Amino acid sequence: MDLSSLLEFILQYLAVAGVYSLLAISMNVEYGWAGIPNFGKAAFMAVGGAVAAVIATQIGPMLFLGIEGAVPGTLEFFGRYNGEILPAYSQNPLATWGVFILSAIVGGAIAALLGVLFTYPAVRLREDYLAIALLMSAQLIWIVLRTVKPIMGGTMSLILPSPDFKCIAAAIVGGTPPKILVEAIRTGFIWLLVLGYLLYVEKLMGSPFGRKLRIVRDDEVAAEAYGKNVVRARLEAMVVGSFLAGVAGAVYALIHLRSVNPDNYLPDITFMVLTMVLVGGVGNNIGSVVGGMVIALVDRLGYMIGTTLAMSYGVSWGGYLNYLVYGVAIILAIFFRPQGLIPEKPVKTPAWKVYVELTGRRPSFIQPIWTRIKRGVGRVRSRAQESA
Amino acid sequence: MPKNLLEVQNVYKYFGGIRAVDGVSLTVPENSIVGLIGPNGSGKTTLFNVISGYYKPDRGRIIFDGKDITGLKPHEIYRLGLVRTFQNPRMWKSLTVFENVIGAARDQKGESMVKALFKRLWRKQEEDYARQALHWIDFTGLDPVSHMLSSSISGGQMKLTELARALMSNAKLILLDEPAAGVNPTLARKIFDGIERLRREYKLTFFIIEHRLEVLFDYVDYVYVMHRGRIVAEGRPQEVAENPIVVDIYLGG
Ligand SMILES: Nc1ncnc2c1ncn2[C@@H]1O[C@H](COP(=O)(O)OP(=O)(O)OP(=O)(O)O)[C@@H](O)[C@H]1O
Ligand SMILES: [Mg+2]
Repeated sequence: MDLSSLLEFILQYLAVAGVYSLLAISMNVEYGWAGIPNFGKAAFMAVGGAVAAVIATQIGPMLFLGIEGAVPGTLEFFGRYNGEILPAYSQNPLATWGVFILSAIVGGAIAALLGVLFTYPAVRLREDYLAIALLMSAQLIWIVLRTVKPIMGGTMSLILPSPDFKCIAAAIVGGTPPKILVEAIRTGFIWLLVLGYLLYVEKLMGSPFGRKLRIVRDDEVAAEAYGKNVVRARLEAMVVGSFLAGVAGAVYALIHLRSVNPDNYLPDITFMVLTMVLVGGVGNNIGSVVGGMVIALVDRLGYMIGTTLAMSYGVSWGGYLNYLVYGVAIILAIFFRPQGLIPEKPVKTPAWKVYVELTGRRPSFIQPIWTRIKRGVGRVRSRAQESA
Repeated sequence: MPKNLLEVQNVYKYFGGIRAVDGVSLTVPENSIVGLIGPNGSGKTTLFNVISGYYKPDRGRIIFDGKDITGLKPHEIYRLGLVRTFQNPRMWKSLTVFENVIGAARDQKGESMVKALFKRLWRKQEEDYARQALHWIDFTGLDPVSHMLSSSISGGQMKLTELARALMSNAKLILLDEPAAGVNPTLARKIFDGIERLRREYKLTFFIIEHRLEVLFDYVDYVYVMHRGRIVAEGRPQEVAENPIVVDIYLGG
């Protein structure tokens, strides 16, 4: 493997890992914090993709390009979309960003709405029933996307105008930028969003709100008895999680894949994301990112091994190897490390500052990360000196 | 005559053929300590479950502080100032003891999913609640374990955490389901001394299920005796202790 293809592989990997991290963070809000196993995660992503498709084909041209849109599934669609609209987008970087930003906002909002709608009928039920209800809702969305052509155009992939990173790269180097730089900026942007997700969720959860979600998750009967509206808390978690998934769906469609197809949102994505949360650490937001990075690596390697096996040996099942690994990962995680790679921490509200002041005790989990690292290093060093 | 904080009026709760609560009426006056005793399976916990909104009664009404609370959800009843503890402690097990206590505080501004993002809107309240939580932790003697996960403490400490949570909620009426079960006799008395102090200093009202009659009778103003879903006797502790029906139930089973 030469250097540039290695670099390309790494960028590909990081882009996938970034998108998966967005999804894992969103799943962690629901499953990790609120205990809702959202088996319908793929559908909320699909909403982001569907909104991106509708905006790119029908609303965006009017709003950002000043030309008439085209409705997928109609006779004249491909002629107008490929012949007029896509070329117009490629001449107009600002319009492509307009499509992305609008899709992210509207996609997130509609996903949040559907999160409430799908959860409400089953919100009082046991979590396994809730999971089944969400899984069925996701299938419903998938069927709608396949059959209602004006949304995504049916079952064929629809190319989307990706936000233009070339002009950003060009502004940096001057002149025509190398392709690898454009891809690096694209990947960097995805990770910027990951950082944004992390900051938002950490802030949201390091509060009485985060504590309330955990209280509801840990024991809903006691939660109700102590004034928590359990139904409301669960719906709130679904609003946040589904909003983040909707935005991630727009990112997935417009920035990563640069196309949509209803079959990109099958339940296997949901279970992959669930695996990330389980492996990374249920209830730990950083853990979700770690889980996303681990599973993305399995995903990429599996893909590479699969294609190699298929091309060199004519073996057709190689592409499914990674599913085997996910299964094994879930079982290993549940048996040997149910708390995940990075376990969850107590909710860090300002109450702990008062706790330290009044009791004079400083539990290890509220010490800043660097003192913990320093102490760890110190321990290792003193052990090394002892043995020397 | 003090006013009645709680009135249970002719309440029924059946589970299929089991008549768990079979026409119970009783009152708990403000600032009193009232006991509820009876053999296993006589319906005491079910009555608490009905009062606190966990079950809807089949028939009858529950009046708290002058309001009809029949059929309200537990979190709505909590807001009005009535909380209950659980016979088998229900800890929020992934949280520390300290968080279990502060988590029970009422009207937390930071529990809103929008306000949570703006710390300045809730920081002060959270810090005040933290001090209050530490006060109740001290009061219940939980200080040494307050930083530990609530799943890792002893059963007796869990019962005390239940009590501290109830106190944190700033309720007027606290229903305690066997607060001294499974703890040694000295600690049992200590717990009841604490309850007595809370009644005196904080003007709280208690309605307490307890099997340890020898402890309970030293502290309560009034006792109801339940048997097979009905109130079969009531009165001051001495009267009840001497009541032949009660003696018969407890000895005869
Ligand atoms: N959810 C339920 N479904 C069916 N039967 C129930 C339910 N809850 C309680 N019971 C039954 O109702 C009766 C009263 O139970 P309850 O728990 O109220 O008794 P208790 O007086 O609290 O007993 P203990 O002193 O053992 O705690 C028992 O026969 C019990 O089996
Ligand atoms: Mg009971």
